[in-house]
Amino acid sequence: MSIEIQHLNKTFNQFAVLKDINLQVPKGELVALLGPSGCGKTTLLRIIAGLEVPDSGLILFHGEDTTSRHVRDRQVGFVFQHYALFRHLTVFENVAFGLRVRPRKLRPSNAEIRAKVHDLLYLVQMRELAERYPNQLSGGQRQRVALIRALAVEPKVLLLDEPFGALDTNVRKELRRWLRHLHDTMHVTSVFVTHDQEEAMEVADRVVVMNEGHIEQIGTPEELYENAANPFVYRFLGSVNLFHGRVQTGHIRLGDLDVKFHEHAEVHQAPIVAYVRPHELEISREADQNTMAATVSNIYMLGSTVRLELVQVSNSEIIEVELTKEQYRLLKLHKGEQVFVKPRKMRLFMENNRAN
Amino acid sequence: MSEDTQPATFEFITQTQTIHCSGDWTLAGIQQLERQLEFSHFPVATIVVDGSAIRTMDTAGAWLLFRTYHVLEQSEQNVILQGFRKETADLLNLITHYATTLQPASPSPSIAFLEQIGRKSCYQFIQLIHFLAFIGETFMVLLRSLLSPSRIRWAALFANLHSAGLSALPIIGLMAFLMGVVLAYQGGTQLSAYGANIFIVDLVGITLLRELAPLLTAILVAGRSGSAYTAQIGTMQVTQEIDALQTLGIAPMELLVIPKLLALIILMPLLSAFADVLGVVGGMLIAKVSLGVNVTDFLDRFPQAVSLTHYLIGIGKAPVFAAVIAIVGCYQGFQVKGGAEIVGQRVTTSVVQAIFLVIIVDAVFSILFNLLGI
Repeated sequence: MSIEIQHLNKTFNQFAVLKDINLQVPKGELVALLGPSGCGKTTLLRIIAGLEVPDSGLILFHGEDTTSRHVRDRQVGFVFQHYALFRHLTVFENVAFGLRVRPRKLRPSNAEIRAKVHDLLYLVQMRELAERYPNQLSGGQRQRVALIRALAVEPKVLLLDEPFGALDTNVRKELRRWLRHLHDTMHVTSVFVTHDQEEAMEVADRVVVMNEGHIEQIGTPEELYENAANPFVYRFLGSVNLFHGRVQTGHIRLGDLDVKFHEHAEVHQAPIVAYVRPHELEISREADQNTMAATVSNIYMLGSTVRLELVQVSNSEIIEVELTKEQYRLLKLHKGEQVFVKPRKMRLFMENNRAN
Repeated sequence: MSEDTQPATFEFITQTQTIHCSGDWTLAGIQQLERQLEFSHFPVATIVVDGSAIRTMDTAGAWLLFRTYHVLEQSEQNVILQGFRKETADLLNLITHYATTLQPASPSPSIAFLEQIGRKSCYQFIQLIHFLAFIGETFMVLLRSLLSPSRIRWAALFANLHSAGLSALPIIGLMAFLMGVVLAYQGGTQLSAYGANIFIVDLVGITLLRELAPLLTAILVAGRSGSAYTAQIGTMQVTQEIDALQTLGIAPMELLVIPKLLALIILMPLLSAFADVLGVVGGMLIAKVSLGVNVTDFLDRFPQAVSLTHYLIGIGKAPVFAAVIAIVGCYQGFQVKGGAEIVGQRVTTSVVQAIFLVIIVDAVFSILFNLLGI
């Protein structure tokens, strides 16, 4: 079932949490709402579920207005960050709960319920844990139970609120892959909220980047990474180095660096910021007109990669560079050494380009 | 102050009506400059401020200049700024821009006090409306459940009957027994002074059956079960289990409130009758031991002394107390928003409110029965 959101607004105590949100989630897609904490992503998800009422705007499920429909009649599955399992019920009863409490006419027979719950438990490889209580399970197991509890009632839409937020890195990675796999087998339209850009990029078909109650950009993970619409998105999708400079009719001066710049050729003396990702910087020992001088101030070994902290000679600002182990080995760098940094690629934003 | 700074100065030349500013208008020398400016007076209609000789300026200097400018303008003098370098002018613009957004001084404390009273009253009023709305909703759902009993969650109902009823028997029994003992002791000393020992039956019987047994049972149940209801629902609210119920298509009202309400309404008359019995037994024991009233005498006197009305009034009040306790307990549970510490606060509020309301309801009943002459 597709979801459509039109001109949605929500305020809490005169504080606008969501400002004119428009969003379409096509049928069967897995969409991530990504943003820093407090950007309104969870509120948006709760409004889609019907747990929160918007001040204005429409929510359409499959083209049908659902804005005023009660959460109980929306047929959504919701997975909470802290699992929200029923503590006094076993794993089996938790999953079966949504089916057992249906009115008699709609309720499947006991045998059907048992078969269905066992299928779902099999899907998450937790069959042997069916008789355990939630407090006897690990975080990852609890979240899997929460997920199949939501799926047991065959929801039209699956909503996940930071589902892996409370789990440790390894479990999180495993569950991410598993969620993607689950989605590929079940094709339920899903929306999930996260503040972890890596998680959003890995799992989602499309990512919606949100900030301060509005949508910054919508696109596939690749589109967003390659073609960020504005500095916020660029910064949010990974660490980045900033170089402040000025446009000088067709050229940009960034510290020692002189770059040709063909867009906005008419602009003169306007401030500009160049965004360069740490892995898009090259280090060499010879200077040319496209390099800037910097000294190595710190070296961090991070397993497969090496992160360098350099200090620019011209303005003593810090540059972060990421090298592979191989590159690092070849360069034989050590602390305090002067090197030359050359950006392979950069993204330029005029400083007042913050209209959206 | 390092050696290459020049102190900030200004000079007023009356012929040209110009203030010449010079030096470093920075934080270092600002104090002296401020004092000078404060005591200066520029008695002209139009005044020119010339900043061409200012070497450097920081926000402190800009702020001082802006303030002087503002004071001059307020005394209806025309001020013209001239000769400022771009950096200085930019800084001045920045200061001007932010200064205009400054708020006026905070209102006087007496108004703040009134405002607080107003806010508190509004808050209480809104709380009251919410509470009334909750009562209304509960009764609508209760009515619907009673009309179609298949909606009632029988398992939850029986679980509640067990936890709030059966397991409460020992404590309620002990309390009622001791209450009977206390009443008979205290009343007995007075009665024996008049040699009216046999009236101990009237005293213990009427007080317990009509008033004390249902009231004390209600207070105990409020502390025992009302608080548990708040804690249970409040915790479910914190762990988002209530939200989870809703998304699974279950009305929390039907699953959590109605079984509790029905259970207490069924239980309270029973518990209160149980308390009646044990209370009277306690009274009887003391009557025998310290007043010399035999058990047979006591039991003979009892039907004459205590009419059925007294018993029925006591038992009749119990379901009302039950409804008050269950509704307050559940309502406070649903009011929990935020973390676990709120649950504790709400439990306290729930017990206090429930006991308070039970006593008010009891008082209303007393007045009502007095007017009706029963």
